[in-house]
Amino acid sequence: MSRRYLAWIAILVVLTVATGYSWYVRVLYNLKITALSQSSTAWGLWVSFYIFFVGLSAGAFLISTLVYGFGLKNFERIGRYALLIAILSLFGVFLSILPDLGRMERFIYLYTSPNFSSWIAIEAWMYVIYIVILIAELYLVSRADIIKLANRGAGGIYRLLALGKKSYTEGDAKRDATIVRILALIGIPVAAIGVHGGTGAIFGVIGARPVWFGAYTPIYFVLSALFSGAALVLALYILTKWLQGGEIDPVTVDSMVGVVILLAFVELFFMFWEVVTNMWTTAPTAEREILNIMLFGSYWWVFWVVELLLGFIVPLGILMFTKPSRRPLLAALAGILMVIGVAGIRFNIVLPTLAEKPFPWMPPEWDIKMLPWDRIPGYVAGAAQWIANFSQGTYYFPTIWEWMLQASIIFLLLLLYSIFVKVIPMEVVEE
Amino acid sequence: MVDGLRRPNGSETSRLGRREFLKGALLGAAVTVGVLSGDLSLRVAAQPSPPAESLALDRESELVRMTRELQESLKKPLQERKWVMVIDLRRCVGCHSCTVSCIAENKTPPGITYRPVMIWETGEYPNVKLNFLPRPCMQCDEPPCTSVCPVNATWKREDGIVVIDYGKCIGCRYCVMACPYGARSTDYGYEWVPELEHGPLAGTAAKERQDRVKSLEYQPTPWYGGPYGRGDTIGITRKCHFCIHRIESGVLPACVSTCIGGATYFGDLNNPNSLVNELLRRYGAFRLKEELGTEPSVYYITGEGGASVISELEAMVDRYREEVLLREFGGRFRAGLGGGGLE
Repeated sequence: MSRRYLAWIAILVVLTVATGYSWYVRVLYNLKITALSQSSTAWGLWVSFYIFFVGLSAGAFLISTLVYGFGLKNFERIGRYALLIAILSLFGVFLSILPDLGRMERFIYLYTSPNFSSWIAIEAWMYVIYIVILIAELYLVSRADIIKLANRGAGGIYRLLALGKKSYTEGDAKRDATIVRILALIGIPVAAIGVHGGTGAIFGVIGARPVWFGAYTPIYFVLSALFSGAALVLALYILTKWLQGGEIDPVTVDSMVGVVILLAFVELFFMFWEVVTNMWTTAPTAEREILNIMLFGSYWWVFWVVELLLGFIVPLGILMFTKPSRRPLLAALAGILMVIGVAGIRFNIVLPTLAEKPFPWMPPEWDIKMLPWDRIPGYVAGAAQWIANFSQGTYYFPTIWEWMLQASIIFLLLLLYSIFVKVIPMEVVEE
Repeated sequence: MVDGLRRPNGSETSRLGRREFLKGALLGAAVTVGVLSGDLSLRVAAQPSPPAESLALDRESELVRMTRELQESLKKPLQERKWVMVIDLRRCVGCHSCTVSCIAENKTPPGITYRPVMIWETGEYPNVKLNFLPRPCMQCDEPPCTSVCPVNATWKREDGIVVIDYGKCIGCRYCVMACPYGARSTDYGYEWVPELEHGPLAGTAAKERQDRVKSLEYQPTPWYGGPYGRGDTIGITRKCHFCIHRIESGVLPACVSTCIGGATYFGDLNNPNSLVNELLRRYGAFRLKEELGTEPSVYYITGEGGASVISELEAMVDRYREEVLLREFGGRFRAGLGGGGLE
């Protein structure tokens, strides 16, 4: 393990532990530590990141199907990265939505007494089917290399994973390839319709909420999923190789960059028409009001700065006007920026709609529930106030605990990723 | 008024007491009229009071009648009842009594308001008008909030009331999103007495919360809990339930019995002779966001056909004056009516 890599792991451990303190606060004070408890907005940062991670997972998986479902050789080297990212992102889905439940311990009811007329219940079950497919696929595509490593005596873990198998024949390879192909092809509808389209449907079926409601929402979800997944796979492939001191394959990078640019423009195209049609309505609809809040309300900067500037203009400029295979780190930066942009997109899916009250005359106590921070202990309050000061005049702004908890999830996922890329043979092992 | 409810068979003393009071007030008003119109005061006061039937505003009898009808409906099986609420906006004075009594009845914590009164202003100064609109849960016939619950923790009962099993709710707040009326809100665990929430007393506070909050809503009753019973409500979604615990005991919902303007009615839509049916027949009623097809069980009466409480009182005095004075002065008074007073 290179020194650079060890330092990276050490930093991640420190960051995860430091921000992980927020979990303790969350368990102790429940949702009181969120800004949700101060406003009429019932869903906030954690739900945005929940759909963000679902998107990353589905997007990364669909990229992997280019290799394992359709056999595109150009993407062969990122196939396992994509699958690993899909698995870990799904873990992020679970970690992001769990603290958002008012009763975390009851989440098991989703499996013991599900109501399948609710898309949340359908999704909870879809994620299980999906993760089984993902893990099976990742295992099967790296099985040959696991057995090789086991035979080489590289560690007990490989002997365990090899399940006692000593040799890997041509026939095994052929059979595994067929199973993987079937899994990948089954996985496409599972990921696109079940997992991510379905997450869009959670929002799309709510007739009471303008902008969410409608056929467009699941489609838009899947598109941004593809875009963010591809961008993340590109960035992480390059960064991993760079950190490990490995060789970055120029063909892979160039192919991925092509896919990312294409998806970015498709995404922009959809965003354009969402904004334009909703802002151009001839009647003063609630949709226009909500879009107005998104573009010019207290979160104007999420749309203009995070989404448009950081998510599209800067990274597209980098990818189109530099040579990515010659400057891979710049391409990785572009990928990271795009992923951040998509996080902004997710935020803007959830929050602006919730700024619209069911009736314009709802009484103030309905809107602002409490005098803010005088009801929780000093150190909690002080930390929360620090960031709440930024939120003057906004209807909901995540507290420092919400940010910290979200950050801890991201750091933990990066840590797990960094460990897993070391353990799992991500590329074909030479004899 | 609550006393009147506790004696559903109608304690005559209480009713008469109220009636006597009204009578006295009206007589007083009539006397004033008499004094103003000259030396007739003594003769007017000596007249017998008008028959009670002529008084349109008799809130207590409305409450007693609704209670009686409620108890009659309770004898029917659950699926044959259909509870509805009718809110007469002409009578609503925006006093928030219903909101306050609801908080007291259901012991709701800060941030949870089952029945807010929405207030908004129309017109421009000096011709402004305040509008009041109480908003309980609509108890929709086609509730958009129940089908979205991922764990079957909320459902519509056979009598039309939408309930939540607080012991089962996971707190995902999906139903809050689905409700077009903002009728569902989340219990974030705030207390009215913040000292009890944290610090050295926090442990006792949790226990106290359970002991103190002996509201019927929290107790394991056949009306709320499912097989899980009812636990603490922190972190989960709560909503108005027409005070099921009161209804099932034969008492009107808290907001109905405490409405000072007599604006809120409650009853069984399946009883053709009930007061709510009578009101719905007599006046045009509307429901909120009818276009969504949720078929709410809360009706609002507005527009012509009645007046506010105050103008109704004025009309009563007018009627009484006319009745008495007409009897006294006959044609002379009638002639004077159009001509600016008695000659």
